Amino acid sequence: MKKVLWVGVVLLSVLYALPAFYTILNSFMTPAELAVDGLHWIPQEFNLQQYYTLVTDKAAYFRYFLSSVKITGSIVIGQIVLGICAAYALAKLRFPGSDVVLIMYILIILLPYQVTLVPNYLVFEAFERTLNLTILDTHQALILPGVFSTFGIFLLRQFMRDLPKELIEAAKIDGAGHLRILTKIVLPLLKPAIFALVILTFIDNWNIVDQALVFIDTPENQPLSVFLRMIYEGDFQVFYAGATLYIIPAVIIFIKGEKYLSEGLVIGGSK
Amino acid sequence: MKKTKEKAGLIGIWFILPSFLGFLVLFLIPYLIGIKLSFQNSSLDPTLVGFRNYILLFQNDAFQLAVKNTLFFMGIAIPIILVISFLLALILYEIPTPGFVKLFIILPMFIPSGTVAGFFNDLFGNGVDNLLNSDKAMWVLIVLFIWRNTGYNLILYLAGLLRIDKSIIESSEIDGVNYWQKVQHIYMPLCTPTTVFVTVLSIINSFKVFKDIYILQGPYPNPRIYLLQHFMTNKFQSLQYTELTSAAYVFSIGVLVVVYLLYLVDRNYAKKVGERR
Repeated sequence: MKKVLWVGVVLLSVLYALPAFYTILNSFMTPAELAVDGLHWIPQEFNLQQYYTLVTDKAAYFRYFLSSVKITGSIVIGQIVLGICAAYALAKLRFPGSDVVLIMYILIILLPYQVTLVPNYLVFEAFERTLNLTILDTHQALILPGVFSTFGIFLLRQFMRDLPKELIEAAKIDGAGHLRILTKIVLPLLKPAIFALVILTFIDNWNIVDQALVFIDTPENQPLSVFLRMIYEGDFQVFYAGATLYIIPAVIIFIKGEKYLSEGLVIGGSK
Repeated sequence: MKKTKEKAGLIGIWFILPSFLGFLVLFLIPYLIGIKLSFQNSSLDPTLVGFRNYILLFQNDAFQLAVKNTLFFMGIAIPIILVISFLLALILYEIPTPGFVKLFIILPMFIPSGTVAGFFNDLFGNGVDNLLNSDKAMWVLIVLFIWRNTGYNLILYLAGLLRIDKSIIESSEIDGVNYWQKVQHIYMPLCTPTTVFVTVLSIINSFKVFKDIYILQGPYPNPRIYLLQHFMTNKFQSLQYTELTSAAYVFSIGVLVVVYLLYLVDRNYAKKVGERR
């Protein structure tokens, strides 16, 4: 039984990854090879022409790449910091009205961007009019809604809630303050959840397209995802190289953090 | 006792405050102000017209179609993906598999919509339009959704399973329960908070499948796969903000019902676990 499942899971995972392999293999093909009808898997030779063209003619690609790193990195860090504090308040400290806040937070995650786009736009405009803060057309227009998205709070709250109370009570008796309990006791136990948050938030914001098209007018300020869309529509012969480089950061983050998804939780002697 | 509880409550407010201020300014206040827009004649003409926009919305054929398709899609795709990702997570939790398995299953969420479209076009050639215009189009959408998002849910279920205290599992093994009983009485109930979260997430992700379809078929696809996202995006692009906002609020009320149900499931879980401790 175990062997059958093992084979099944391995085969299934290969099936899932086929389009990604296809992208990588196609990134070594010449425009002539790409133009052939039907699926083309194996390049005739490993041709680096797409990457070369990307570096020489589309050097802007790498500037967009850095913009995306900046935007996505800020959002991930912001969500972790805000998320840990808020989740601790919602799951462990509780306060008058915490359930109402929780329901509102869940509600706002569930609304698709088409719904929040207009409200966000109006706020940014108001900021500019009254406080003279320029947010529209800068990266801030993507970073702010990303950082204050309640996604991370809800995720961490779900994982934090049934950490044993005794652990926290014991630390309190030892005289630890809340910040200390949070960093020394709660965080180490939440590693798998924090890793899940990092990878999921990274993916969502790395792939951002529609919000960027609304909030940012200057083409140079767009994130990489939008630029890649333009390559897809305009310079398809280098698309696969662009897409391959686009996938790499997420793969690296995943490989680096994967170990947290195989460590079990052992709470020594608390039960 | 009461006094310490109150004090803890006040500390809680400090911890939630930074996120709540951002939430207030960026989402809540503009969202509430937006309600007024949905009762206006148009976004430029602030004459109030009562429920006219809502009535027109419900009479709109495109809206009715979009609601029907979206509910059908979510009703089928979400239960399937919950089961698949939970089972896969269980298998990966129990059986040592090569390291690449998780990565491979998660890869579909990393790749851009353009790649999906390019692969689809090469796979089916000119047949891609035939397929998406056939009556099987909805199933294509469902498969596409499951393929893209299994990894997402799998990560969460794995994190959820890993959070279960090993001593509970060990003591159940000493009691001699079989594997299915273990799944039924330990893994499934203790994964409830994860399931609530994964359901919420799958709803969000079910909106995103629209991106892949949009790049293949544009703003007016086969009516069988015309979703609420198409409706709202088209309203946005044609600057019909009053229609967009009234659709958004109707949508929000639907979502609120779902959220409340999930909240009840979640609270029920808290009670049970609370009793055990």
